[in-house]
Amino acid sequence: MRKWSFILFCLTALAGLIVLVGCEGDTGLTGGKGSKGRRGTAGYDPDRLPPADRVFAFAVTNATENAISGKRQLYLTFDSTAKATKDTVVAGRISVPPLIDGLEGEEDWGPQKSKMPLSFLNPDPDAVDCQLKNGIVRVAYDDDNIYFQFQWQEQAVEATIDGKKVEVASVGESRELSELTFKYRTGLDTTRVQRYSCKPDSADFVLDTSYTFVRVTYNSTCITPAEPCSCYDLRTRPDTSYLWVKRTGTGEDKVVVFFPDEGSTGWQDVAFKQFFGFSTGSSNIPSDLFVDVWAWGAGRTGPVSVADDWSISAAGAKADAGQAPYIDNWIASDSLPRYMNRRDPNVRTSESGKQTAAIYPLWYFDAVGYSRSGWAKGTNRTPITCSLPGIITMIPSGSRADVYTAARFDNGFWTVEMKRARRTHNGDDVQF
Amino acid sequence: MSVGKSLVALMAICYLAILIIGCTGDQGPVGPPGFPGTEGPPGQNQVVSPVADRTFGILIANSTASDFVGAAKVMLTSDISSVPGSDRVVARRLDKAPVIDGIDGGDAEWGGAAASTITLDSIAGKYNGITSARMRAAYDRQYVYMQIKWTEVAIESFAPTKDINKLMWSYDSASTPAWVRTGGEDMLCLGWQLTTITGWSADGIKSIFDGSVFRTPASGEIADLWVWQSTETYYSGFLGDKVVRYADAAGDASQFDAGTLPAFTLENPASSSNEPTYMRSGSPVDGTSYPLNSYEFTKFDALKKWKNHATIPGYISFIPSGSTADVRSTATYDNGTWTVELRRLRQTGNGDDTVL
Repeated sequence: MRKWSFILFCLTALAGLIVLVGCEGDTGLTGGKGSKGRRGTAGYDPDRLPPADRVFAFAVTNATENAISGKRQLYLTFDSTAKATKDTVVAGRISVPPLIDGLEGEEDWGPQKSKMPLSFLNPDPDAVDCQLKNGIVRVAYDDDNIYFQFQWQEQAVEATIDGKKVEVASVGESRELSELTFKYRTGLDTTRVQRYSCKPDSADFVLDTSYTFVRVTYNSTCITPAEPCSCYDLRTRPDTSYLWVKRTGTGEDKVVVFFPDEGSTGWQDVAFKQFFGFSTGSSNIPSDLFVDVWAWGAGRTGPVSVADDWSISAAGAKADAGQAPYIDNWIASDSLPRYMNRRDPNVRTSESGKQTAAIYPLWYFDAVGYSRSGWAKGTNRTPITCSLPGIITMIPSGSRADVYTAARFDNGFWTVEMKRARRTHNGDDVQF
Repeated sequence: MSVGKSLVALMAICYLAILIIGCTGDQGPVGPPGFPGTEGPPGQNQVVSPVADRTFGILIANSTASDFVGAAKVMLTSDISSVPGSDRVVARRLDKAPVIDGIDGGDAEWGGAAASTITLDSIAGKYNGITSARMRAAYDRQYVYMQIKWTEVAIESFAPTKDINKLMWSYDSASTPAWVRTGGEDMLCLGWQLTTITGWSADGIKSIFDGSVFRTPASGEIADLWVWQSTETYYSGFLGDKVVRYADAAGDASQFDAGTLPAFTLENPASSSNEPTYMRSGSPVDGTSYPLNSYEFTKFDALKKWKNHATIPGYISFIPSGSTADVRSTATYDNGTWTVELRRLRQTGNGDDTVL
C-alpha cells in the first residue's frame, strides 16, 4: 500500500510539475512598425525660389506709334497672401502652365487679377488721347517660366483738330502697319517739287508728301549741305521712280511692358521717351539705368508670336541680340519700297475687288525685290491707288525672341498673353 | 485491482491527458510599436558645378585662311585660386549673364572674371603680327560665356581692316573681266578634344591642324572645333560649330555639326561669263552690300546697266540650325581690335559637342 501511495505521490508531483513548468503559451505577435522618422531638411535651389517682387509699367496704343495709355507703375508681388489692387499685381504659383493663345480660357492663372483704369501717358502737347480703358493684368509663374496676361478695351474717339471733328481712334485690330501707297497722276505742277532733296540728313531735305507721284533721284555722295549736292526732278526721264508714301493712320495696336532693374527710380519718363520718341521730357539718362522692354505689336510681331525684346540703358533703346521679327519696307532716301510680294504688282489696289486683298503679313519668303513695272495707273480722272506692306515679317531669333506671345482681339477687347523663361541667361534681360 | 492501483492508473491516465492536451498556454499580447526612425539626411543643396579643367587651342587669322597665329594649348579652369596667364584662362561663375553683343562691358559685365593675355605664336603660313589675345570666360548653371579680343597689326601684307566683305564682286567697265572678286576675312578657331587625341597633350590644336587643314591623327579620334569668320558666320549671330574627324587621305576632315545645309553661306561663284551667278532681287544698279540674305537672292541680271564700282556680295548668308548653331556669337570691330563674344550650353545634348 505504501508502495502505491509513493507511486501515486510521485505521479501527482510529476503532474504538478508538468502543469507548473510545461504549459507556457506561445510568444505574442511582433508589435507594429514604428512611425517614419522626420524628413530631413530640404536642399536649397536658388532657381526654384519664388521670384523677387519688383515694379513694372505697361503702355498700350490704338493704331498709333506713341499715343500711349497705360500704367506708369505697377507693383508685382509673388506673395500669395497679398491682395490684388489697381496698383498691385499678385502673381500666382501654378502647377499647370496656362495656354498662351490670347483666349480667356479656363486655364489656371492663379486666383487674382488686377483691374485698373488706364492713364494717358504721352506728355507731348499735341498728342491725342485714344482713351483706352479697362486694363486687366494677371501674372502667374512656375519653376521655369513667368506668364503675363494683359487685357484692355478700345473705343472710337473723335477730337476737334483745327476746328474740324476728326476720328482719332477707332475699334479694330490695326494689324496693317505703315501701309505704303502711291497714286499715278499726270500733269503735276513742276514747281511744287523743287525742294525735294537728295538725302534725309542734308539740311535742305524736305520730305514733301503732298504729292502722290514724283520722280526723284538720289546722289549718294551728297552728305552735307556744304558739299555739292545734285538733286533732280526727273519726271521727264523714263527710268525714274515712283514715290511711295505711308498711308496716314496705319499704325498698329501694341502693348509694351517695361521692367526696370532693381533699385532704379524715376525711370519711367526716360524709358518712355527713349522707346516712344517723345519730344518733351529730359534727355538725360541715368548712367545706371537698365530697363527690359517687351514690345508686342499687332503688325510688327503678332504674325510671329513674339514680343520684340529690347532694353534701355544709358546708351539709349537697343534691340536685344538676334534677328528682328520684321524689317521696314521703305527707304527714306528715295521713298521706294525695298520689296513687294511675288504676286505683285497690283495685289491690292483701289480697283473694285482688290481693295481688301490680303497683303499682310508679307513673309520674307514671299518678298521679292521691288519693281517699278506694271503698277496700275488708271486715268487722270480716276487714278488708282496701289498698296504695299510697310514691313516684311521675318523669323526672329536669339535674345530678341525671348518672349513668346499670343493675342486675340474680340469685341473691342485685346487679350495679349506672354510667356518668358524666368532665367534667359541673356545679360540684356531681367531675370525673375 | 486494489484501490491504490486504480488511483495510480487514473493518475497515469490524467498525467498522459495533461501531457497531451493540457500544457499549451494562450498566445501572448501583441508587442508595442517600434520607435520612430531617425531623421533623414538633409537634402543636397543645388550648386552650380564648376567647369571641369580643359585644354583648348586657339587660332587667329587676319584676312587670309592660310596664315595663322595661335596658342596650341591653353588651360581653361574654374579654379579661382589659379592665376590667369598666357596659357591659362580662369572662368568665373556669374549670377547674371553677360550681354553677348561684342561690346566689352568690362568687369561689371563679366563679374570680375580676370582677362588672360594669351601669347600667340606663328602656327601656319606667314606671320600676321598678332602677338596676343585677351580672353575672359565665365559660366553659370547652363551656359559658358567667352570673350576673345585681339588687335590686328600692319605688317608686310597684313593690315588692320574689318574684313567683312569676303570675295566681294565689284564692277569696273574698263577692266576685263568687268566683274572681279576681292577681299578676305578674319578668322578665329577654338579647338577642343572630344575624345583623347594622339599628340594633344604635347601639341594641342596643332595635333589636329597641319597648317592648312583639320583632321585628327587616328581613327576614332574626334575634336570639337568652333570657327568664327568675319564674313561667313559674322552676319548670322552664330559661329560655326564643327566636328573634326580622322581622314586617311589628305584634305580637310572638319564638317559642320548636324543641321541644315548650307549652314552659313552659299558661295556666289563666277558664271561661265565671269560674272556673279546671283544678285539681290531688285538690286539697284549700284549694287548691294553684305549681307545678301538667303531669301532675297536671285539670278544675276547681265542686262542691267551696272554702274562702275557696283558691288555684289560673294556669299549668300543663311541662318544655321541644329547643332551647327550651338554657339551664339556677336562680334564688333573697333580701331583695329576685334571683340568676339560667344555663349554655349555647357551640355548641348549633342554628341558632337564637348561638355563644359
